[in-house]
Formats: sequence, C-alpha cells, structure tokens
Amino acid sequence: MRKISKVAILCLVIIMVTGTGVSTLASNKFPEKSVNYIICFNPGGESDITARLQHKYLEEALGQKVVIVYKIGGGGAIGWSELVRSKPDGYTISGDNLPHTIVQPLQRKDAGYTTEQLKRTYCFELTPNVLAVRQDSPFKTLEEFVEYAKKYPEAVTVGGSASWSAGHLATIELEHLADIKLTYIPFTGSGAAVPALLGGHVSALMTYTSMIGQHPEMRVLAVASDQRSPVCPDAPTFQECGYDLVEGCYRGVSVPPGTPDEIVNILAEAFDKVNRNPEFQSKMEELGYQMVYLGPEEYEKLVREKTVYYTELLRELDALAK
Amino acid sequence: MNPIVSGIMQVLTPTNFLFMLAGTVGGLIVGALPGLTATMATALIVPFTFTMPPLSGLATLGAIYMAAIYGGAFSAILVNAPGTPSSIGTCFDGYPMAKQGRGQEAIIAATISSVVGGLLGIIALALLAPPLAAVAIKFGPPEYFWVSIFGITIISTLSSKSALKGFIGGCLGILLSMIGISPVGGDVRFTFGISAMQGGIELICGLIGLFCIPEVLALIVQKAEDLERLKPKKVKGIIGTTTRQVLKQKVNLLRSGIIGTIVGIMPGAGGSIANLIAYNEAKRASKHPEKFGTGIIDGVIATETANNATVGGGLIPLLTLGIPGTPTAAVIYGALLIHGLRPGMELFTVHADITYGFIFSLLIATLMMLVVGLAVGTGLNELLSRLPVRILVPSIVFLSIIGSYAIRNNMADVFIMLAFGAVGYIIKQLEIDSGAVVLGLILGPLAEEGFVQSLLMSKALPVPWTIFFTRPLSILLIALSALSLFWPLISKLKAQRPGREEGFNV
Amino acid sequence: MYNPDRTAAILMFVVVLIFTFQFSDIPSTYSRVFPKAVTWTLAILSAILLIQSWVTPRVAEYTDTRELKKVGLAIILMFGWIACIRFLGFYLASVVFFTLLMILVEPSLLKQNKLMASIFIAAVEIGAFYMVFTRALNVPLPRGIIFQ
Repeated sequence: MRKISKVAILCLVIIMVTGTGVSTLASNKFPEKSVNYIICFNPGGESDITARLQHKYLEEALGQKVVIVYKIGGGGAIGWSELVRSKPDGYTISGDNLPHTIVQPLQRKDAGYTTEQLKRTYCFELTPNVLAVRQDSPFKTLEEFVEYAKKYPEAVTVGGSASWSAGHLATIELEHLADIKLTYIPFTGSGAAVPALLGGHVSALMTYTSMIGQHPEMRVLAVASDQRSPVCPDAPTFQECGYDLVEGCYRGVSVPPGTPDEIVNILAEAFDKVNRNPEFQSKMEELGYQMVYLGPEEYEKLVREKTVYYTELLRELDALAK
Repeated sequence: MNPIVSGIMQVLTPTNFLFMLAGTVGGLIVGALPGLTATMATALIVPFTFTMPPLSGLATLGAIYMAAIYGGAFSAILVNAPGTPSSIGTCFDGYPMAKQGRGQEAIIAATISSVVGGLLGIIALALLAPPLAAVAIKFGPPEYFWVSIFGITIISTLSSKSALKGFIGGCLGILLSMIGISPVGGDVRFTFGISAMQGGIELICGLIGLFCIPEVLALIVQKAEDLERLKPKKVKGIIGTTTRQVLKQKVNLLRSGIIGTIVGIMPGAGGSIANLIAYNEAKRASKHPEKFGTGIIDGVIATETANNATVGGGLIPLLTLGIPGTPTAAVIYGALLIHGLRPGMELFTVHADITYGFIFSLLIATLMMLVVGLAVGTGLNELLSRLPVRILVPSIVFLSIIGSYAIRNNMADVFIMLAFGAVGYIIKQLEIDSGAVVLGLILGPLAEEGFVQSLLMSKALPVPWTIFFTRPLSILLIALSALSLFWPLISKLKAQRPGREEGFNV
Repeated sequence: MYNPDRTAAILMFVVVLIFTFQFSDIPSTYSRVFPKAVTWTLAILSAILLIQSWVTPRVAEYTDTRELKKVGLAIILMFGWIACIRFLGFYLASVVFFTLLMILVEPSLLKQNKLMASIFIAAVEIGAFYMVFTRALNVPLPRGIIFQ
C-alpha cells in the first residue's frame, strides 16, 4: 500500500513539474510571456525570411521571447483560420498577407475565416509586382510585349505564384488595361516559377521585386508601383508606360478578433520600432522589399479599400464564391 | 591563395567541427522522429546562424540536412515508420530485416550506403554543378508530367503480386492528394465542406498512418511466440562483414547514387521519389527480384544511397541558379540571402571560398554521420529490441500523434493520420500495396500541376494536346515510362527465351 | 471467407462515387480536369478487377474475430486519445490512453497489481518526451485545457 502511494505521489510531482505554463489571466503589463508568431507559408519564403529578420529586433522591442510557429496549408488559410479561433490576448499573432486574406474569403465558399475577423495590427512591407522576361527575350519593352500579345491572343504565357495571388490579379488587370489576352500559368510559389522562365517554358513572369534582386538573369519590363524600385532602377513603372497598374503583396501582422486595443497598440509600436531600425531596413531593402509603416487604423483602411476593389474585380470575372 | 583551398582551410577550425557535430546529432534525431523534418530543424537554426560567419552557419545547416535525411532510415527500419518521406523504400526491406532480428545489419547497411550516396552527390555538386543545372531547367511542365507518370509506372514492378491492384492503389493515392486547394485554379475541392481540410493531406501524416499504424495493430494482435522474432541475434564483427557486403554492390551503389543526384536536381521532386525509383531499378536489375520486400540488403542499399545523393543534387540548382530543389534547400536559400550571398555563378567566382568551403563541409559532415550514425543506430536498435511490446505499442502511437501534429501544428492532421491508419489496415486486408498508395500521394500533385500547366501552355497551339508528345525530352520520358510499365512482361519473355528456366505459370 | 479482389473493387467504386459527387462544387475547369481523369481511370481499373474476381476467384480467410475486436478497440482507443487532448490536456490524456493501450496489449497488467507501475512508466515517458519536445527542441505540442 505504502509503495503504491509513494508511486502516486511521484506521479503527481512529475505531472506538476512537467505541466508548467499555467496561464495567468490578469495582464496589466503586456507582454508577460512569450508571443507566438504564426507564419502561414513555407520556411524560406518571403514571409518566413521577413519574420526571421524581425525576430531579434522584435524580441528586443517587446522584451519577451517570440516563438515562430508554422501553420502551413491552403495557401495560408489554415493559419488564418487558426488565428481567428485563438485567444484574443495578443500572445498569438500571425503574419497577414494581402491580397490573400481579402481574396480567399471572397473566392472560397468557406475559407475558415473572414477578412473582417483578422484584427489588423501593423503592416510593414510591400513587394510590388514586376513583369519580367529572360535577358535574351525578344521583348525589350512593355510596348513590344503588349503589341505581340495583341497580335497573338493567349499565345503569351505569364508564369506566377499560385492562383488568385497578387501576380495573378496583376496579370488580369494588365489584360483589362491593355486590352490583350494572356495565358496566366500558376506555379507553387514565386521561386518555383523562375526555372520555367529560365528554361523558356513561359514567356514572362509576373513576379515580385523581391525575386529580382536574386535573379540577375531576368529583365524587368515594368514595375506595378507608383515609384521605381531600387532593385531595378532602370525599369519604368506601369504608370510611366501608360497603364494605371499598381499591384503587389503587402505583409503585416494581425491578431484574433476581440483583442483589446491597448494590446494591439503595444504590438504595433513594437513592429514599428523594428521597421524603423536602420540595420533591419537596409537588410530588407537589399532583398527587394519596400518598407511601409501602417499602424492599425491605416492598415485597416487599406484593407477596406482593397476589399471593395477586389470584390468588383472578382465579380467581373465571375469568380466570387456562390 | 586559391579560393578553393582557402575555403577548405576556413572549414577546418575546432568551432566549425563542433557546430557540425551538433548539427549531425541534431539532424539525426530530427530525422529519426517521424513528423520532425530537416526543413523544420534547419528553419529553427537559421536565426542562430545570423551571428556566425556565413561559412559556419552554412556548414551547420548542411550537416543537419545530410544527417536528417539519413536519420529517417532508423525509424523506417525499426518501427516501419519512415522518419522522412525520403526513407519510404527503406521500410520495404529494412523493417522485415529488423523483424528477423537483423536490425543492426540493416542499420549498418543504411549508414554505409548513406555515406556513399552523400559522397556521390557532393562529388557531382563540386565537379558538375553548372552543366547539370543547365539540364535541370530543360524540364518544363510537360516533362514534369511525364516524370510523374514514369514514377507511377514503378508500381508494375513494385506491386509484382498484382499490378492491377497496385495501380488501383496508386489512383486512390492520387485522388487523396487532390483534397484541398487545387494547384492551378486555386479552388477548394473534395473537402466535404470542412474548412480544416483546405490544407489537404500532409504527406508525412499519410505515411505515418499508412505504414506505422497497421504495424502497431499487427503488434497488438500478434501472439507471444511471434514476439521472439524481434530479439536481435548478436553477431561478432557485424560492422565489418556488412560493410564489405555493401561495398561489394558497386553497381547498385553507383546506379542509386546517380538516380538520387539527378532526381535531386529537378526542383520539386526530391528524395521522396528518388528512393523509390532507385529501389525499383535495383529490383529490376537484380538476379533475384522476388526476394525484394522480404528483407534483402540490396533494397536498403538502393534507397539510402539515393536519398542522401539528393542532398548534393538538390544543392546544384540552388547554388547555380537560386532555385531550391527541395524544401530544406529553400531554407538554406533563405539563409544564403540573409547573409548577403546571392545564388548564381557569383557563388562560384566571387564567393568561391565560401561555396567550396560549404561543399567541403558537407563532405566532413557525411563522414561524421558514419561515426555518429553507427553509434546512435546500434544503441537505438538495442533499446527498441529490449522494450516490451506493451510499452513499445503505446510509445509508437504517442510518437505518431506528436509527429503528425508537429509537422504543421494542426490537430486536424492528427485525425487524418489516424484515418489513414484505418485505411492502411483495410487495404492491407484487401492485399493492396500501401507503397503504391503512397506513390500516388507523392506524385499526384506533381502530375496534376504538370498536366494542367501544359494544357495552359498549349492553349494557342493549333492542336493543343500535341505539347505532350512533341518535345524531345518528353519523348524520352514516355519511352522510359513504357519500358518501366511493361518491364514485368519483358523480363518474363527474357526468362523464357533461353529455355533454362521452366517459365512461369500465368 | 471473402474475395479480396471483389471487396476491393466494390470499395473503390464507393470512392469513385464519393469523388464524382463533389465535381459539381468545383468552379474552374482547370481544377476539375485532372481529378476527373484519375477518377475515370480508377473506375475502369476497378471494373477490370471486378471481372477478374469472377474469372479467377480467390479467397482470403477472415481474421480471427477476437483479433478483429482487438484491432477495433485499439483504433477506438487511439481515436479517443486524440479527441480527449482537447478536454483533458495533452499530458493527462496521453498518460490515460498510454496506460489503456498497455492494458490492451497485456490484459494481465490489471490482475497482477502492476497498474500503478504502468501508469508510472507512462507518466515518466510522456513527461520526458514532453520536456524534450517543448523545451529542448522548441516544438509546440497540442494544447488542452488543463496543461497548455
């Protein structure tokens, strides 16, 4: 009998020792414990590289450990639907990509989350779309590209990352603006599309500024931004060429719905501090990311504007979920 | 000084050796535990490499990568659960060997072959990187489609008992892989209206379910006298004899190494396919193909040589073109970028010291793997064979749960894993090869992407479908697929012609 | 006794039906074309198998019903394990079901008063793994109410 009770006590002790981390509810000073930062895309991708670069500075700014957690799948939807079901205490935050979190709920019957559920906290970077071809491509300018596409509808193939991504939408917008017909071919990621261009399997790529710095074998025909990009200063913007095309992928962080504003502000300040760190900035710009500094309200406003725009675009294409 | 020599000198410091040793041990553990992958391990380490000199960081990451691919063999051999998708084929013969008490022999064979395979891949990387990379980009969507069809045709050799049922299993695997978001079109499909299914089926969860759970169930129902088989036989000098046995199979080693390197070069394919193709080729070339699957050392040699050769192969397009061939290579790519090293020919000219230093460090890591692997593997084999079944069974289930959760931090994946376990048990009763299902699961997405992308590419052609049959590389791949599909028939004819053998009863 | 070929063919027809019924939900042709082709292939192969099962009939013995019961029980236990993590927490659920699975493998544990020792083993092993995973390897584990 005695033996058994001894064992039982030991068990209890072990349970108590191992089961630490019992949460403290009252939080007068956020953050009191480590913050989980959900990344919805594969390691090695743009979202991951950004988070890895932020990591050190973010821990300094928050004064707490930041743990990067991957929740990958469904083009990000798995991670975001997990986020909106998490406790709204600010200890679970997630990378938030536009246009993904706007277009997915529009285009899918049940994406597992809605655009409004994500509480926008801070938007830190933008990678504008670029239309790029191989160095030895016959297309020297955007004009030549458009002219050829006009003559041979659907014969010009444009590769990009995934369906309904910024690259896909930018291709559609270009088709509308220039009145041409292209064939968009989605690949599993912006990196996976590059060999298809280099091997001559697609005529052009609608990719991002972040890919240009890495691949000097590509020539940029135009940048979908209101300003030229430092990674390809010689390439004109679409606007300079006469097409009002501004498209790209915004990356920021969001928290679960119902998170108190004070906590959102603390997080936003921390990310802002990271974003204004010159060391961090130079690393990011070197990699082709354009820094933006949108706090909770501005970020929310951006999302609202874009939602209206994308809803209209998808309605025209008959791509809204029925 | 010559940059290559200076790169090699930079690797040879005690700190770097310490980092690489830690990387090797860590990679081994991560690889051996199903659900923990080399990708996750390297991603975790990347932030620590920021503060290191670039070469030390890369050497550590490389060591983890190499060791994790090899570590997958442990769980494949000991509990029939491939620790990484690269070790699927190792289950086929490694686990039967362990059941016969030859676990140690299998582990030694896996170790030696992994080292040989790793070295072959590294040699290809060091000497042939630029020309091989030029070949890699020749593969467009139609070629990827035919590569996956070639992969599927392996089933006719793999499921030699009933090729028809094998192909049925393959189709089932492909269909299951279609669940989730479609690669072209971006639509949600086959989710039964459950939003958690948008993520589709994670390969590792399918693998654990299909291979591991049916084995656990078999352990639960097996009778006491059968348990004796698990007890290992102690053989003196087994390392020496097994090593000699492995090194005797020069053709098998070389062939599997080349297969691994080539498949590794093709972005998106990677070790999960390479090991199965190598297994298939070893079986086809063998004088006694019927022994494959019963616990033959040749099978283990083929798969483990091939998967470690993909490490070097996978780094070729990464370093030359900036195209990561495998998910782990993608993480290493991120690390390169963060260190300000842009992949491309610059790496072989301006930063030649770092590049060749990195390649050399892989070489050293591979040799470290030999020592560490033999020690850890022998220990694990001992431990597992002593563990009573009543503890072994719940422990495997426990690790299956952790593994399938950890891969994407998703509870739905754990349920999917168990569902696959039930499916695995049922198809085992129906005599459908679960290897064929897995092959479908791996190749399905690759085949679909290639197929639909090709259709899109050919939209403007006068006759759209011709794109599949007009490109030279595609024609070659079609011929290879046909050969592989009809190989069982061909080998039957070959066996009958000389009249030496009595012929088969059909 | 049953014919494994025929059973397999019939089950595969069920799979074909399940997938076929979902085609109409997919908006774009490009998401439909490949799965459709594979479903058709599966249907044709299953039909051949069905015919084959009459031309060259084969039989397999049912597994012992006692064994089947054990297998069923094991699957239920595993399912319970996963389902209970949500309510009991990862650690507690694991200890409980680890022990139950041990008893399933060796029912004599209950009689020989070895139950406490078994629970102890389960608690220690799971605790050790829990620590290694969460602390050393930094791998997040499933969460529940009691132990996060």
